[in-house]
Amino acid sequence: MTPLQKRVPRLVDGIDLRALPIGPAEAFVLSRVDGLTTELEIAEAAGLEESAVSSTLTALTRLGAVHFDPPRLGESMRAPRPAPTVSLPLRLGPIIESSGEAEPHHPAAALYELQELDEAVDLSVERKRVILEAFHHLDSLSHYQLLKVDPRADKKAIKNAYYEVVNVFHPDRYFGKNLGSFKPKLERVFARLTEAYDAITRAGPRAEYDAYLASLDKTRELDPSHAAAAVQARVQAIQRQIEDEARAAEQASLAPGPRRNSPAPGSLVPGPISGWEPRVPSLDPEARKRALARKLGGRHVSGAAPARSSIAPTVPPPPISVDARERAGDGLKRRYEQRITRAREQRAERYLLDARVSLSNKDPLSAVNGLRIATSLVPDNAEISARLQEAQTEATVLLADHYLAQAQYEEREGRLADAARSYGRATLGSPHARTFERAAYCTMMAQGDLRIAGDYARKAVALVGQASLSRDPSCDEAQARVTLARIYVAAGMKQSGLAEFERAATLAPKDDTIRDWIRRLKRGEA
Amino acid sequence: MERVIGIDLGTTNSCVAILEGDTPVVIPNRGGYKTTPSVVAVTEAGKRLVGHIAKRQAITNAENTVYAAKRLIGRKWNSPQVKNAIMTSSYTIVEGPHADVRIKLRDKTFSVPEVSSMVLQEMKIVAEDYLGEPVKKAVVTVPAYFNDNQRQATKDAGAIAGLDVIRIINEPTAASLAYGYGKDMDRTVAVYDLGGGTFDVSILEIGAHGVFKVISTTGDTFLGGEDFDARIIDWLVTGFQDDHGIDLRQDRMALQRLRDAAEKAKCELSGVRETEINLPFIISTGRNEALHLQRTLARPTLEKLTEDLVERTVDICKQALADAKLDVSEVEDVILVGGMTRMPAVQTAVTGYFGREPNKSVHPDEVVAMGAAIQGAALVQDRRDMILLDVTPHALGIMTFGSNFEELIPQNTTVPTSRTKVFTTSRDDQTAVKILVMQGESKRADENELLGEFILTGLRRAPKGHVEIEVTFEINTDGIVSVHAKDMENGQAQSIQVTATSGLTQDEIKNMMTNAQDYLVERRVDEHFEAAKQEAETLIAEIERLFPEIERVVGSADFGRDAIAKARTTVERTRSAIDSKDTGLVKEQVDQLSRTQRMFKGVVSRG
Repeated sequence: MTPLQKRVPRLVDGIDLRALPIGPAEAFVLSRVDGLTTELEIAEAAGLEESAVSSTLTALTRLGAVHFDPPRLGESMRAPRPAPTVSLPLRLGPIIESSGEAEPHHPAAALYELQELDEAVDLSVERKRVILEAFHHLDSLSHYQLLKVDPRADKKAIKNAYYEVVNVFHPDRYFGKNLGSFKPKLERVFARLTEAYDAITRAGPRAEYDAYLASLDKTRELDPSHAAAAVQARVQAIQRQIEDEARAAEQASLAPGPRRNSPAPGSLVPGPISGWEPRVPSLDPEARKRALARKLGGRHVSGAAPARSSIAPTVPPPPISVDARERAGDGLKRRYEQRITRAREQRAERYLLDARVSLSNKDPLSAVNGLRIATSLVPDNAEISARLQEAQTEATVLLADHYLAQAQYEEREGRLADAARSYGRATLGSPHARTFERAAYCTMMAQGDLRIAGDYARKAVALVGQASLSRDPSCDEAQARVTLARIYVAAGMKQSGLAEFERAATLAPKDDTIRDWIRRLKRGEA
Repeated sequence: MERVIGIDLGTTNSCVAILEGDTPVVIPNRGGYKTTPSVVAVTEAGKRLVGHIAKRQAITNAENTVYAAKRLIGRKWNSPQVKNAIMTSSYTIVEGPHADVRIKLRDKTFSVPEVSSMVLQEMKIVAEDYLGEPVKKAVVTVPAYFNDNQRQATKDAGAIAGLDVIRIINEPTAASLAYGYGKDMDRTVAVYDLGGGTFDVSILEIGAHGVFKVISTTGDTFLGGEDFDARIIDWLVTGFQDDHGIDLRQDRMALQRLRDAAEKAKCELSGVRETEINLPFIISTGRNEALHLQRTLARPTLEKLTEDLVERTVDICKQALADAKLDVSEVEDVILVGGMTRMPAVQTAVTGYFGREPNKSVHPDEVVAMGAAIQGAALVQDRRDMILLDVTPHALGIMTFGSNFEELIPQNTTVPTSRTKVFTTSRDDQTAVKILVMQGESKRADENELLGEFILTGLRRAPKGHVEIEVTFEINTDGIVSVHAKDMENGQAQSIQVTATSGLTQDEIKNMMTNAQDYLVERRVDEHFEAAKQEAETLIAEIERLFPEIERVVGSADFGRDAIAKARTTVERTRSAIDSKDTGLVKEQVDQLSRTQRMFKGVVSRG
């Protein structure tokens, strides 16, 4: 694979595109250049090979049509996002992309109750807001986000950042003032900031934490809630592109002439598409889906198949009529919508094909991302959904080691609910008794769903029981049975619990704890 | 705006400072000295003496003069340190009602915080005289290695002295504040604080936005200048024993003289190569024959005698750096604090270990009080340009089964902080659990300091190990420790604020406060009387000087004789007023006397 490029190409001001000695391929790439989209995004959105996009852009640079310099002041920008000169590949994880933005976290629907702001204390409303904002985000931010530093920041930068936030959150700043409930909040925030600072300014703990973050980052791409925004952005970009093309095609068909009617991409600055939602294709969606599924599902379809010809038009050409202008208008609209629907299906197909290639290449993560976009483009498609499921499962298996490492880190840090989730995921790729037992235990201790905990525990017992299969000596059967028994008891199933404890007791007859449990259950005390 | 004074309550000397504008200023006492000896005495007449005056009379009143009360503050009666102090002190140490330590002075016993409060009260008065207004708030420093009981006892001493101690801060930290305040620096520094009784090392980061962050702190509360003195005393006593077969330690007065001489010799040897110790009539042989002590102490001898002490301080420095996870080369400056750091051998050892010349920009005796004043101002001022992030010098935890110590908050954790751990019961059907809150580094609970205890009851009956109890420790900005325990199953919870104990009850403290107030009133009254008496005596002397002259000029005239007789009566009355210590009467007489004096002067000048 070519290295991921994150350069942002921009059109050279005042260039006459029609005078360039280029072909349709270059023109297509050029039409995607809007001064905001990166090379990588262009490649992904257009469904082209990155290397192809990259070399085309290089050629266009040589022709003087495109440059990669950062924007000058005053240049029109669609969004206030500063184009980073060095930036990371698309991250869906916790690393802040928007380091230049003032507020990485918006209260959106504020996490705190508004009346918390009304407490009569010697603090300005603004200060109260800042404190509440920080307090309620303590558990959701990474150490780096908390201190507002780049994950690659050196010790000195971290130190300075810490000193700065400490000046806001150290309770001594407000000595002698009536702080009410804000005092413990400040203390909590300060303690958490210091914990973060201590963790990432010491080499050992920082390496450990970075490994945890990196692992999280990797697995987070699988987390639908974290991927949603990125997928939606990509889908919106595609939709925009599709609409442009459909419009252009419409105009071309209405006014056929020598002049190629391509939208001038640099100047066409539509506002962010708001309220866009996946639209149901207007014409016989079921039939269309069936047709698409037929086409897509066939293993014989080659990856290079030309998309346009693969879908037969299901709508006959509109009858020519001299009178009804309205009907002509309707027809126009219909044709436009058809074009869009077709285009969406074509993209989805393209993503699906890519995903299958990725899956066969043992790269389920890429497949997951592509398929998520595909499902957004064409919802309710059984083939895509199935493939997405498959890719997700495979990715989870692939990432089992990461989940396991995360789970252990989280368990060590006392974050049992997180650990339960991570162990649960790890079981998919690391189906060992120990993993199941820990998943069960953490789920129970974190007061999670006891049915799920029970399933894990039973699985652990089953696995550990198959002595020949168990290559996992760190979990003995008694331990697995005790966990299962405790889960039964916690769920109110005392008889099952007792039975399980008794089985554990035969395995470990000397264990006092097990004996005590049994005695207690028999006396009906537990 | 309310002023906050900074007090360095030292083992041997104390110092008070205040922030004037941006500059910390050390306030001199009435004698013009910037430090005041932390010495308290009660005279035969029952009069209380503090500071230089108490130190000066120590030899003749050794049994009623308290030195180094700081070594005893917040300690328990049965601690080895107290046992040691009983052996070596010239004053009498007795057991208090709460297994605490009391000091017997004449017919009264005083708690240690009470004795320290006398020094603090003196410092308060010094500041009030200088500022011309009452002072109520103070930041008081303690050795970094003090535990919570010692800190609380120091706070109580402040309260008894009528001071609201708004914060207790660590001495080395205070020194770093004075060193780095307002200088906008960014560096890692080590503070080497070898005081009269305690040794502390702190490693700090001083950074942007006026942040002072302590990374590690460690020390020894029983290593200081007094130990150096003791080595000299030992050397002197041994030599004397060899020469005369007499143990000078058995004589408290001799011991006191030896102590003074040793301290003096030690200080002198920082400047000169050798010094003579001369104590004539140190003791009587009982055959009506007095013996003298006379010896010459050379610097190399002193260095040999105290080599291991200096070595110990270097070991503690190593520990501090290891705790900070820093290499010695990462330390960018070394600040010397405490009078003992004037000793050349100490400076050589520090230079040798850190590989750099220590910083000489701060005054080793005054820098701590200055830092305390800076912290005080930073807390109450609106313009807050300094923030201090200090650490817990000792680990905090609870005692678990088998008298083990289970740590919750480790040593050198930045405060405020909180930690939680889950514990289980150790007996079958245990329905209550006693939570013993302890402080210290030992794995054995009984070797650590007990801070407080409480009982969590209402646990469900279960076999041992089955009831899970979640214990949360919290230290807030004011250093107050709260402990919360909860039965994880039934939610039964209990929490306490651990009030470290100085060995005094609230009532006792209140009583002592009242006594201190009474003393203050008494002292003020005394001062007024003394002032009036002085004025009266000056006038009397003047008038009596003029009598012969007046006699010569107007003695022959009736009115002259009358005037002289009247004047004599006034003088007599004044004298009796002085004898009866009646300040009001003396003041009245002073008016009368000054009229007489003016008249006499007028007569003399005309005649």
